[in-house]
Amino acid sequence: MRISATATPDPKVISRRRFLYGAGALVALVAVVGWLKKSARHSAPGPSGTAAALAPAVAFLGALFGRELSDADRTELTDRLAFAVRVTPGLSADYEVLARQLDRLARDSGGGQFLKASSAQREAIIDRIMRIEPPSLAERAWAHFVRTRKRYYHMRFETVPQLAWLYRHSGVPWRARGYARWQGIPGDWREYTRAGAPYP
Amino acid sequence: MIGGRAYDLCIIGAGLAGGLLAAQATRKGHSVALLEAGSRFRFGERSTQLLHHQTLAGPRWPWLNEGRDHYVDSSTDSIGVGYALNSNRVKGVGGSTLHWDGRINRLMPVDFSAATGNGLGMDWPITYEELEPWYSQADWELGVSGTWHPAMPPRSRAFPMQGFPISVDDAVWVPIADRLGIEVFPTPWAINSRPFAGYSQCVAFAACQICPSGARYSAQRHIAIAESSGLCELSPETVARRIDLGPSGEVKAIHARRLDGQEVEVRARVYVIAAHAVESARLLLLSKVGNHADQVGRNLMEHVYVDTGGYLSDRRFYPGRVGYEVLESLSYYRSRERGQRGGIKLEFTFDQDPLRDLDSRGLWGSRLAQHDRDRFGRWIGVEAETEMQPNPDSRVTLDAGQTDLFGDPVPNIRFAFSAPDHRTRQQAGEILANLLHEVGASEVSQDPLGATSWGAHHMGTCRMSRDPDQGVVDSDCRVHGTSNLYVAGSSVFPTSGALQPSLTIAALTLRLAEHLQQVLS
Repeated sequence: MRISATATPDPKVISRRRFLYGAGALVALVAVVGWLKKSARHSAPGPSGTAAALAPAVAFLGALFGRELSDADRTELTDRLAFAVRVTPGLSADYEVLARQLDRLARDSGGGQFLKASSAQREAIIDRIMRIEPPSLAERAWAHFVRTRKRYYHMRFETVPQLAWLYRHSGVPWRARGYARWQGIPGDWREYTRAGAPYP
Repeated sequence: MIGGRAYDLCIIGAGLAGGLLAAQATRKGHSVALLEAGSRFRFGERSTQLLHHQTLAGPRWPWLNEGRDHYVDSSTDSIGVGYALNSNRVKGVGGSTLHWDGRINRLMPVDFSAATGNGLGMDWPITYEELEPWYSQADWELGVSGTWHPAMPPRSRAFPMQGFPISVDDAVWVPIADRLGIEVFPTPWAINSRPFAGYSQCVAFAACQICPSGARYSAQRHIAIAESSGLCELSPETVARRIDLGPSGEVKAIHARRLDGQEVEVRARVYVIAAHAVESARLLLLSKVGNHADQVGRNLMEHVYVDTGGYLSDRRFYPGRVGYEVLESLSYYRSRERGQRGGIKLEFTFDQDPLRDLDSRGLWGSRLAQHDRDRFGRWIGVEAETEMQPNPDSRVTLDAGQTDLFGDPVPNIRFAFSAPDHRTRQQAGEILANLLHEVGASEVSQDPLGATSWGAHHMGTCRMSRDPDQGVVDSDCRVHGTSNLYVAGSSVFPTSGALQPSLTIAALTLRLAEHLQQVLS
């Protein structure tokens, strides 16, 4: 049987070339869909201001300042973080980057999530984050093109200082020092003319 | 909308000077157009503003607009450290009184004759005695709580409110000051020690960076008075861009643009620029007005603080507890030797947060918590507010390379020190080190010129002078060579002294208001 070069191929027979084309297209399609899903996940207005979404940042602050947070501490920090997210576009994304980085480091140290890590593990993770060196000029230039590097440095040198400011200006450190009032908490202004309670 | 008619008075800038002037003018029945580049922050939003500051601070402060407030800082080239202008000013209805300590002093009589009395700087064209009645009126307009001490300048009228006593921590300095022959006394504050002017007494005494109750003075008080008269039209988010000056020296109009892009033209009989030392000079430079002697923008001054502190192992204080250190001293204000150095005022402090060592000392986690337990409350410090001499090389210019959101050149600020400034800071450092030695502090450290060591007091750039070639405005604060253009605020200060400028701004403004009353009548 002669097979003409121009003959219509049998649609049920898949040539090797067609198979390769198809497989390539499928892989590309999967990649594109995956990327689109990931992008959508990042840009979608998720539950960024919820207590659950902010829990890693709260836990991070407790570990950063070496304090076992009380329920009152956690509530106050959560409220303040929620306020910060509400009034500052982009901040929730910054906190998400931090949370992912914390979880990644927790996995690296053999655990699961940062939130489930022990105090010692958390302190070790904080140590790794705080020891990140400022980028050199070349690294800064490189980070300009590589989004993950840019986020990495932004997390350490923008997000962490902002969170530290928030913590220092909250009631949490004052409570730890035995204070009952601090900025914005009204009371008798003459209190400063009397000795305070002994330090804990 | 503002600009639809002619006004008696057009004021550019709704801060302390602009707000007070607007109130005074409307009290006399004059119509006022009040332009403010910043936004209006409602009084009822104070608690939210405080929360905003406590959670975000830095460049995310609510009053900052990057496109509008862009500037270039060349100070690193001249003095080795940069100047964060936007962290040291507030653009908004109320200006910098939206976010300030509230410490409030008169200048010393000798400050008005700095050249003849101290051999440095220049003499003001007015004396302390001429300004004294206005100082007294300013005390009552702003609401000052104070207790007079012989070391303070003479005054013709008592403080409107009783002063705040010294704190339990401040008392540690009293026997040491006695031993050294230094006079210490509680500083006056523009904070209510009793209900005053329709606002409550302070319930947390100065501890809040943004006062949620209104007990600390803000120019919003006077702007409210002006607006309630029905004679003042306030236009926030309106940036004055050009002064239209006729050939006879008479200003015809102010051209401005709102942040929403709308053009505004305001016509008035008299115009007052009250946009603080940087923006007042910038507007004159942009308009090519008042600069025939190349004086606009020159002699930019600030108060540089020298900070010294150490630790006491045998005593714990209560820093940051509701309350505030209030003790100060003028015993070293002037040197015995003429021409050697500028003024030095001492302020005593206990406020240092060990948690700030997070990055600077490489402490975090449990080590930082232990550091806080060990160090908090043991720190004792003295700060010296120092006088900066007028210096023509310390200046505001227009930056040729960068523009704001409207396409206008941004201000380029360049602080410069002179030899007496270095001597002032050096001597301040010696005085402070001796005090820390006397109190028995250990680990004494001194930061002569750090990023946090500025007073956020911008002065000069449009200074007063009798001689039109030596300054920008005359003794009535009218721009030399013009007939109806004035400048209000600390930009007209010929010298800075070493005392907070707010009360002098208010006194000069009240004096200007009286002059304008005569002009407008």
